[in-house]
Amino acid sequence: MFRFLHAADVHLDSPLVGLDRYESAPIEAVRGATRRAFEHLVSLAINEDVAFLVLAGDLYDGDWKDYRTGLFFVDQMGRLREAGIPVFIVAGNHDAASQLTKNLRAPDNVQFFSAKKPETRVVEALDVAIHGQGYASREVTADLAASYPAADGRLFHIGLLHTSLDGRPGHAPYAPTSPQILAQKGYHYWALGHVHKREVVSREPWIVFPGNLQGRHARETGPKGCTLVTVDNGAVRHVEERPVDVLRWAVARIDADGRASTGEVLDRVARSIASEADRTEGRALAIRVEVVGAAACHGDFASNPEHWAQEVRALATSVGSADVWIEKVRFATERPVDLSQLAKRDDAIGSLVRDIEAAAGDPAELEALRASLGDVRAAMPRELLDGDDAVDPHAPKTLADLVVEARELLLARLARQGPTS
Amino acid sequence: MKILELQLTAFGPFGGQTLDLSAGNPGLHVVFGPNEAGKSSALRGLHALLYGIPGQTNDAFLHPYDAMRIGGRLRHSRGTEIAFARRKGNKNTLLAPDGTRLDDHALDRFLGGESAEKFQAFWGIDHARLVQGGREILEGQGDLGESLFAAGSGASNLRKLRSTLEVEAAELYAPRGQRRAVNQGLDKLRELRAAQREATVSVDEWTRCQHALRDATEAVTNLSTQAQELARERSRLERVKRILPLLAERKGLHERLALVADAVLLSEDFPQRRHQAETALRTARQALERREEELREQKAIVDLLGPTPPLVAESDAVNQLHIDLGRHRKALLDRPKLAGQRSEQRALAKRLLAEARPDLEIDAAMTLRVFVGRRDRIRKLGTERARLDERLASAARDGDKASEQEEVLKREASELPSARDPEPLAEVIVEAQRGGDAEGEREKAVQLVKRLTAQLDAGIERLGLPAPAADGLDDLRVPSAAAIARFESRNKELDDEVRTTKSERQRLDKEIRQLSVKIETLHTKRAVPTEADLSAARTRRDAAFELLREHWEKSLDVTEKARELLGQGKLIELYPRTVAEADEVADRLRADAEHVAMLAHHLEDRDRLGTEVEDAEASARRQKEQAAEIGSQWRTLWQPVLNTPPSIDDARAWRTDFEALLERSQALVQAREELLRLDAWIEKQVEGLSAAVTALEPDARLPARLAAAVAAGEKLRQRIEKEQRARSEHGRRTSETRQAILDAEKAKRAAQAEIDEWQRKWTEATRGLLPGDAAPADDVLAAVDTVEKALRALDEAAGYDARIAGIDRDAEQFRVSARALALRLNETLGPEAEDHWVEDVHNRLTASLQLEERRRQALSLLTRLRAELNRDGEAVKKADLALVTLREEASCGYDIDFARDEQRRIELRTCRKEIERIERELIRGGDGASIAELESEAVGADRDTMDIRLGEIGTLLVEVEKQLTAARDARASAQAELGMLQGPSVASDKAEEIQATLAKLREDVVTYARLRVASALLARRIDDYRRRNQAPLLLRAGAHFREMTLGSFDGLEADVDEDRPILAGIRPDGKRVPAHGMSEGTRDQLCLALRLAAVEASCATGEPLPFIVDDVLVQFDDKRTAAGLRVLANVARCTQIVLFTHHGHVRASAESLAECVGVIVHEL
Repeated sequence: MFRFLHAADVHLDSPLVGLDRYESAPIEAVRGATRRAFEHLVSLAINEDVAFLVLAGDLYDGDWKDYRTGLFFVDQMGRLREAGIPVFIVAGNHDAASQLTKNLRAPDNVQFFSAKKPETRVVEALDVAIHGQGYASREVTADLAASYPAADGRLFHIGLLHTSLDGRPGHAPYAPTSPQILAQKGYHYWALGHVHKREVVSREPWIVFPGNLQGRHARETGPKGCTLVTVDNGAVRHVEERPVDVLRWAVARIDADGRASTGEVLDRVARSIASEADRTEGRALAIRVEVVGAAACHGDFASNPEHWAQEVRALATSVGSADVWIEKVRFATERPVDLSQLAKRDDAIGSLVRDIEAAAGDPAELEALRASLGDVRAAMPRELLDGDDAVDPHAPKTLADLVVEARELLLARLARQGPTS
Repeated sequence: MKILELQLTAFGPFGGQTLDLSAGNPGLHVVFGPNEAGKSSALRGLHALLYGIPGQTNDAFLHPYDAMRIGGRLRHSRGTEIAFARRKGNKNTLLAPDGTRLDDHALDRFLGGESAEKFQAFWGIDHARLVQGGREILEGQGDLGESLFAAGSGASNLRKLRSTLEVEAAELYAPRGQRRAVNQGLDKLRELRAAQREATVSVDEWTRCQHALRDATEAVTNLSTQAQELARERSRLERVKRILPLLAERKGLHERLALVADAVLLSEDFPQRRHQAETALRTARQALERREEELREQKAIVDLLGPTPPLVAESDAVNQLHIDLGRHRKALLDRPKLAGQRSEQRALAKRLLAEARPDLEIDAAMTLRVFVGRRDRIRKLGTERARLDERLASAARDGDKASEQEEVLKREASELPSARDPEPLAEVIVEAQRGGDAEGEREKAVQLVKRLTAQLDAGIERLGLPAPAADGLDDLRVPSAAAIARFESRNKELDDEVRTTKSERQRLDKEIRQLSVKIETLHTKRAVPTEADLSAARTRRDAAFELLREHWEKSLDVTEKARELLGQGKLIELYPRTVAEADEVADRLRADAEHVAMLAHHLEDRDRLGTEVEDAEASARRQKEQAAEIGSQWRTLWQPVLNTPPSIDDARAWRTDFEALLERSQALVQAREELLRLDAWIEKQVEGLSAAVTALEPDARLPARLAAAVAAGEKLRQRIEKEQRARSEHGRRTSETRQAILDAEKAKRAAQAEIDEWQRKWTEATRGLLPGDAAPADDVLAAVDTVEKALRALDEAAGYDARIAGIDRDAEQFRVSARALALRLNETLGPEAEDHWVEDVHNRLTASLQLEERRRQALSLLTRLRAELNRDGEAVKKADLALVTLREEASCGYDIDFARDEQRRIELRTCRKEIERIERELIRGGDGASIAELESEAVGADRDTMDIRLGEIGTLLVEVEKQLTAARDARASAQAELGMLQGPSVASDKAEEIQATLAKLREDVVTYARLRVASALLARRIDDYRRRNQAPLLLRAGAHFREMTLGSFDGLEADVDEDRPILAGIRPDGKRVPAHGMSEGTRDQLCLALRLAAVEASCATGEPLPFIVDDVLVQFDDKRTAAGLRVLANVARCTQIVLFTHHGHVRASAESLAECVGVIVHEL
């Protein structure tokens, strides 16, 4: 009987995305999160006395150049060397582009697989064969697994591969293959990487994405870590998810229905945050708060969303047992009365709603709105203009969203009496 | 939608009030609530009815949250109605009249899709918002688009909103801003990126540092090796130089040693050890001899003491018997004393028994022991009996006392008055009191009638009305206000004309006067001829010439004519004078042409003024006629009312006074009716009271006044109630007394039962103690005590018996033991000789034991001496053996002299010691090399060249050390540099910060864009709205404005100011006044007019909703208030308007308009 650890997508020193450092944010609690998660992984390997560790690609971000990161990795590998734990690694798409991978001299307990052809490493003492092939370049579109050798029926076989398998949303289709092709190889366990969400694709044979070690943005929610595999008598006996993350990401959706006041909605938000915080088992929590539903207090939120976001941040300091970082507060409430009802009436508000509706489809109007933004787009950094969280104000989708938000802001503030605050 | 009814069931200060708003079509409802009446709560209630009670509300101070209710009925414009109630809550707040739940959206259709905020903003207005709207117009410089949009949306903050959007956006970003959030974020991002680049350790940098370290390390290694080799060489040379003399000395010693090599070398302490061994042998032998002598002596002593006698073996038995002997002797002495005490106790027992039961023998006394066991029980029963007797007596006493009380109560019952029912009287009194101080009210009504009558009479007199007019004021055909106004207008016009004419006339007179002065002045200065003067002079001259010519040509006598024309004198003389005069005038005219012209001008003006004066006089006459005509018409108008009408100017005041009088007259009628009502009511109450009192007391007579009658009735009622209470009290006491008698009986029976039970127990406990059955309790108790004492004496006597028997038994045992011992010792005893024999044998034993102790000590000493003798023998053997060993060590037998070859042995030792010393020095100075290595190292060494080589090596070594230090420094700095490159990743910290900055930047950019887009959208929509709605809104609002400003403005128009459309009012004369140039009050009215026009427009396109107005007319004067109400009533034709006010003048105005424009007034 022996055990081994399977991890992937470490992305060492890759920064956490989307965490605005507001005054009460728990900055220290999440500093160097990917490093600490990796340290946890190494400690887990030592404490569980595993036979070896397999890493299925993407140790570093492709464009990351700081050699200190590589040294940190070597240092951690040194800890495993002292504990007598060998490490088997295939390069992923990020590693292929990384200068660190090419230049790093790891201790002798670390073995990298070739990027040119599949290789097999045998752990004689355990009768284990590990097959793997790394990425030679960032974009590998060939089915690498197809060339892996078939199992010989004598040893326990592990396939180590960085792949999108038959396609996973949000992940580039690299080294595509299929569970059927993998199954044909006759291996006992396929240790995959690349997909950041944990997934047990199959149990016959075992095909596992362990997910990444540490969530890095609001789309990577829930526990993150590695997979501890127990092998006995030439067969997998137990596959266990073991979280090693330092910061947990979560999205809390709060329904602000009916006539609930803003105070009541904030109470619900607080309860929701506290509930998420209690689930982190002492880790820090980064949480996105989304307030939804047709609500009487829609106008309050729409008229000054920034103010209410601050209120939510202030709440976070006093709830829950963990350090809580409010990543973003999104007010997606709806007005309790249908917009089309407002538009029916031939008064100023009705015509405002109708005209804004018409403007959204009028190229000249949209051009005028773009012009109203001035040169802010030119000043914006590249990261904000493309990518998953892009906010290019000239992009049709963003502009359409802005028009809707602006409309709600106007309707809410116009409905307010007295000077606006 | 129309609100038909608002039920303030449980809301704010209300508890069940209802506002019926169903009248009108849809109608203007004025809800009047003075201060504290809850006007604001009613307003909030109305809103809560339609849109729910807010989560946080100030209207729950009387009713708790869950009890709050507002009800209502609504009617849709298509005729459907809904009745419902509203409770507080987040969901399911609508209830049907039967309490069942209604769908939360049941009202949506009635509300026409308007949200709560929109309803509040657009379908309602209060004074503050009106003022705010007016201020916005001012701040917006009358911007037409903004004004229309504000009216059309109900927003009172439009301008502020626009500027806020711009300011908020500008706070976030400006193209060249520095302290804006986005700009700062961008700057920070640049800095962080630079810092990250700076902090990133590249592979090349790392490799360079590692190479530098490697090179430095290699250099250090090489130089170290070099230095070590040099040092080693130097060390070797110095060593060889150091050991050469020692090696030579060692060689010499080895040569000396060879000469004595065969000598046996003994240890240095050998002679001393030999001497010690010989002495030890000698001493041991002497000790052995001494010990043998002592042993012999001791054996002799033991033999002398002989064997142990048999008595010693029985020493325990002898000692025990000797102890028993003492006890035996004392018991024999005690026995007679005990026998005496036994007899005493038996005698006492017998005596005591004789007291209690003389019939019993002493031996039968034990049968009584059972009563001693029952002693406590008997004693307890004895005490219990007294308590039971007391309880029985107490119950009997209570019964007697209650029976007596019952008798007393029976007597009282016969004296109580009979029962009467006060309820009918109480009801009549309550009814009478419900009217309050009715007589006071009546007195007030009387006073009011008097006062009003007096005021009315005075008013009639003041107004000059005929005296009997008091009751017919309504019928008087007093000229209408319109008629008066018409006359006022005509009179005023006439007055204006008269005034104008008069002032014109004054002006003309003044000018004429001024002209005359001027003409006079011209004349005064120097009579200025005029053209007329010239003409006159010339006419005279011509006339004179004509006369002259007639005289000459026709020889006519012209003397008379000449005199008439020229005065006295001859014509021929006069003519030249006229010629001269004409010439003079002509000359003067020429000379004073200016004065002449001026004079001519003045004169001409005076003629003109004269004509004007005539016109003015004609006008004055005409006006006088008109005035007369007006006066005549005026009088005709007033003829039916007054013979002498008031002046036109005073008529309005007269009419106002008359209206006041009319009001008073109506008030008087009401007061009289009230008086009659009160009289009838009081009479009815007095009659009612009288009937009720008589029914209770037929002889009673009530006072006539209501208050006194009520008081008398109340007194009677209280008396009857007092009687009722007394009767009730008596009944209660009677039943209590009966209960007490029953309780006493019960207690007696219970006590007797307990005594019976006691008797049974007592008999059972004491039966057999005393002869007979009924011995008193005290006797029984005494008998028990006596029997107990007797039995105790008998017990003691029995104790003495036992002790005497024990003494006899012990004496026999002692004797048997003594004789058994004597038998064992083979001694014989005479009879009764046990005492003395035991004494004797004990003395003998004591002597034998002393001898036995001495023998035991002697034997112990003998054993010890034998052991010591053995040890001494061993010591002799050991000393012998030591000497044998020493001889073997010296390799000589007993016959060889130890001192032989002593010199050879000294030499041998000396050489060896020296060699050892030299070798130690060699090893110490040989840097760890062996002597053989040192010897081989020294072979061929040349002392002379050694120093030269040493000098060379020293110089080389200094140089190499210097290079080594430099190399080590280089290595240390390379290591430090590498160390700097290791550790936590600063670059990754910066990367995290960059992401944080991007996150903030993203939010700020989105917020900025949202604000800018909102601002742009709003600006464009305001303009769109203006373009589409300008014409109809201005037309409609203009009409309202005209009416509200009482015609001061004729309407509203769009104007242009610096290329932007603005709002302007049009005066009746066509003059335009920009909206922002209007006074504050007028702007407020403009706002209201615009809003009402927008409401009308909205009603035309969607479900009309009620327009809720909160005291907007508060700052309007009376005329404008009336005008405002007229306008609202007008708008109320298209949707219901509910106007809340707490101002009496608004209510009064509304009431005065009630009939002509259909205003419905409600009071909270």
